[in-house]
Amino acid sequence: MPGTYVPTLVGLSLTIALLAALAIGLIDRQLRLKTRLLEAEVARPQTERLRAFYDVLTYGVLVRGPQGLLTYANRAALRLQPFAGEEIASGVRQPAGQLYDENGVLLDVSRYPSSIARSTKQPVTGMLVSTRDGDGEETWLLCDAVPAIDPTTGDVGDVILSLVDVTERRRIERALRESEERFRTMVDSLADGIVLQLADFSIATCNASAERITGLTADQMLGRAPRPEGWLAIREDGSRFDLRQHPSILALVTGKAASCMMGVESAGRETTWISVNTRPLYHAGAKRPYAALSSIMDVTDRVRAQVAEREARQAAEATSRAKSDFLANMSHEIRTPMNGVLGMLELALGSKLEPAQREYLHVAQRSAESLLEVINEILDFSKVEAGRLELRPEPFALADCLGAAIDPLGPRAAQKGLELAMRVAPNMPPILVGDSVRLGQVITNLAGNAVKFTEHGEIVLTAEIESVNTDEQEVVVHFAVRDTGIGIPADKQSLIFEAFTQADASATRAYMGTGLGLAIATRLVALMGGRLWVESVEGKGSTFHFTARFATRAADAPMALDDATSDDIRGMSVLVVDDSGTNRLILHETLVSWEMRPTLVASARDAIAAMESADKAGKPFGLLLVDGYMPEMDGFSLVEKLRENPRFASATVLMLTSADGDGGAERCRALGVAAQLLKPIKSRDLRAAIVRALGRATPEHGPAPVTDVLDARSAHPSRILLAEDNQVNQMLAVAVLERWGHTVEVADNGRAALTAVARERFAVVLMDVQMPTMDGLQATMEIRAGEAHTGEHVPIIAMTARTMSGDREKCLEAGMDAYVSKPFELEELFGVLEPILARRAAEPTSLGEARRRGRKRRHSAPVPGVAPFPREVVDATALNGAVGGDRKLLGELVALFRTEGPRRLEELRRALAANDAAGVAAAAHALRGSVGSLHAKRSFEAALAVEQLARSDALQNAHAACATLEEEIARLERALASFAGAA
Amino acid sequence: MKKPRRVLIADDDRILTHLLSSRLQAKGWAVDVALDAMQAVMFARQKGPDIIVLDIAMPGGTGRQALHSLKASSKLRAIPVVALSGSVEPEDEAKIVALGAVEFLRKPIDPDVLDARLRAVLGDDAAA
Repeated sequence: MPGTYVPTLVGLSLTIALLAALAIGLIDRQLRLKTRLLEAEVARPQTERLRAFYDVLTYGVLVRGPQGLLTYANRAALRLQPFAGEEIASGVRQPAGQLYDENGVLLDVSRYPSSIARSTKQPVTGMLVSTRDGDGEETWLLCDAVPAIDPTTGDVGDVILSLVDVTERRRIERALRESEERFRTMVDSLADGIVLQLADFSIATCNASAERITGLTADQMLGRAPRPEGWLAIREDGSRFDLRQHPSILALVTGKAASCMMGVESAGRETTWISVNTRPLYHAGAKRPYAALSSIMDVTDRVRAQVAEREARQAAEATSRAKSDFLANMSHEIRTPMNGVLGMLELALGSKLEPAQREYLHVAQRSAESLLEVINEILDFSKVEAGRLELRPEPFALADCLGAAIDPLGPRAAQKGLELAMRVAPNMPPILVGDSVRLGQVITNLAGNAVKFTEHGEIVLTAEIESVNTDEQEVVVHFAVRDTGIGIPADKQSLIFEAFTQADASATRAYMGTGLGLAIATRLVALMGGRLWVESVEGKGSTFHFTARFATRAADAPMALDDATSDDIRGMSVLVVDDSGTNRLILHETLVSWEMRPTLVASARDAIAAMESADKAGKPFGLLLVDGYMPEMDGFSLVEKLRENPRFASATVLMLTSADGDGGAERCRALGVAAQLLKPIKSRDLRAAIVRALGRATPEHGPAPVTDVLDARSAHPSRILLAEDNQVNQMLAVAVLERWGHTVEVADNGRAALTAVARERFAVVLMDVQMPTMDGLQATMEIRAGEAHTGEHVPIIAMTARTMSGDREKCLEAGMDAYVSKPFELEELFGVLEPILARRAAEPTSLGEARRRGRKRRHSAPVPGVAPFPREVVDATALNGAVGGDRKLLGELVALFRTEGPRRLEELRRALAANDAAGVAAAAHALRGSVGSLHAKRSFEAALAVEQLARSDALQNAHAACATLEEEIARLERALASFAGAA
Repeated sequence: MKKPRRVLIADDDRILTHLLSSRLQAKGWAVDVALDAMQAVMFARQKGPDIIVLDIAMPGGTGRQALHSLKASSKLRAIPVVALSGSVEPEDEAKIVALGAVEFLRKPIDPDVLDARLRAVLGDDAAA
């Protein structure tokens, strides 16, 4: 850019000096132009050099003359203000371009920097103006204007202007501002609180959410403002949160991210729970963070929900516990009186009665039984609903389980003339693993309903394998109970599975009895991994199906009984006489599975024909299975007829009957029937009966006829302690036990039982679990604790309501030996009691021996006149007087001494060894008391000697006295044994 | 039939307590047995005995403490206590009675004698 517009007055020294000063001043903004202007040392360079100097500047430099005439513009100025050149060239005294102020308002010429400097005679600095080119593009200029004042006149000559292009800087500044604004808006609009804390722990930034969440205003947060009164941070457990542990502080101190949850409380606000996550911020390459950025989340709702959930769960658990406890108690409370009712009825029915009375009592018994059944169902159902019913899988024989389940229905079926049959597929594993009790419950329910709603025909229970999973050793069994009853209309079929259906109560009652049985069965089956459904045609009958999953055991051996004798019956020909097709089918299948050869006939007449022809063929039947009750000629008449015929008189006959009673057993005996089997026939029973029948020469010794357990006599009449608080139950149990030949002592509660056991050696203790004062579990534990010293172990049998799972374990844990359920079934009680008594009787204790003898001779004449030992050892007469001639009491005292004596002696020895004079004296004193009661003079004196030595601190001399005492005690024991035994 | 008299026998000697309780029961008493001093006081409250037979020589002086407790209780004070002792040291009978016992018997105890003494204390006809 050559010097086209070199100012005409360039030679003016003042101007030049000013320009030079301005140039320097622009480089150094601190320069005081005015001062420099007057300084003499300012150089006066050559014009050309000066022009070059100005043109190299990046800043625009303009000079306006006294009349506003633009006289000079350097190269940068011409670039920034293109019109400047034109203005200089034209010589117009008016600026050619337009200037706008900071706010974009067009400036009046008088407001131009040069005009201001001229009019005010003061320099103008840093005035921001803009120019616009033809396209409206703005150029921002930072202007300085300095008036050159003539020192002589004081008038302003030239005004020197400098222009700096700040367009780019403004753009950047604005972009930065906008960016900051955007960022700010974003942060403020976040739902999470944001807090920036600097390394000096002052808070630099917080957003609106942080204020809202923490309950602190920005003023209360920013910097290092103290937390306001009443503002508190707490931990989840309610304790105070130490703010020095705040994640933000931790992040600044450790340089690592941190997080925590806390509650913040402030006056007038509910606790807000916040989750704080903090990250440290680092400058590039810095080792320590310069700030920590925390995000704060309001988790109050979540925490409240958790708390509410936890509380709800606890409440539910408490309710469930209360419900369970209530059930357990109810169960006990209901069963206890029911036990009394049923037991007393059973006893009454066992006595001599008028026929009418018997009938009344039977009705009462049936009513009580069905009441108990309903109660059980309700309890069961509640347990299932509460999820408290757990299966207890254990190995069981399926056939036995099914048999036991339908057995009780036999009499009712027989009364109605129904055939009750059962068939287990021959390929069924004999032993399955599952809850046989619950399976039996389902079967009993279904079969019970079938009997109830069937007037004619038959009820058949079948069990088949539906699928086998050998890998899992699992089998799914398909059970079906088919009846020929009234059936269920299609539209009622779904109804019957629902509990408490009120929609059509009459239908429910008509088809499913009490209303709970099927609902329970459905749930039980579901627990067993199967499902329950019904197929039914109204008027034709129903079939209830269900499946259940069982584990199988690898290489299940068949029942030992079957195995041992299988050869005996293999290949034998059997004649089956039964009018029921189903029964014939089942028997056929069963017998074939044992490799027997059955011939099946449906009537007595056909049976005789079959026997005749077999006899003629020289292949008589080895065995006859005869249904007792058949139309035309019944089984008994058939056998009678056979016995008349010498050829058939010796045939081995098994009679299958529907019910005991009616003299069936007697008729069987009279007819020489080898065994009578009650329907439904269980294959195992049948097999056992066949084996037994064939193994015996004479049919007279057939299977023992069913005897009423009430009439049983114990093989080991014993002395039994009954701990039971309920008077009715006491009466019942005492009556039953005495009937079996036992003598019974009753304790009203656990404490009394404890005392009784301490006093007397019982053969067995029957212990009710729930009793006042001290319950059975506690009493048992205390008895066992006491026995730890003596080595004795009295068998304790728990009596408790069977319903609640875990009861049994509790009893056994407490140290009980066995368990019978209440209301107790006499057979169960007898079955549990007898083996224990047998074991107890076999115990080789002379103590037991002495006791049994003592009991037997309890009322015999007292005291032999001459005792085989000196009076000084035991004064027999005095002792006998003390016990009032009661031999039993004497035996008990002797027994007590056998445990007390050695215990005291042991205490004595221990105290002596420990040189414990007081201990020796105490033990000797106790021993002396005991032998004193037994009128054992020598022992008494020996003990007294020891005691006195010990009390007079002459323990070193007590050893010999102790030895004497031990000798005397040993002698006393021998004497007592013979004394009690000889009596 | 008259309601049987109830006696509480408190003694740590199980042979003696068994003997006495069996014999007294045979003579128509209702008997409770306490095997230590604490039980004695507890049973005195629970069982409501008409009379108490207490071994005051039970180990550790607990027999005397039991007597003291019984007599310190306004509820139990009225129940007469027959004190037993098997101690070799001469018991100061007057002292025991001062503690509140109505009778003092030295061991060994004859059940028949005890029965008679108890009835005498209660003012019962011995033949009852």
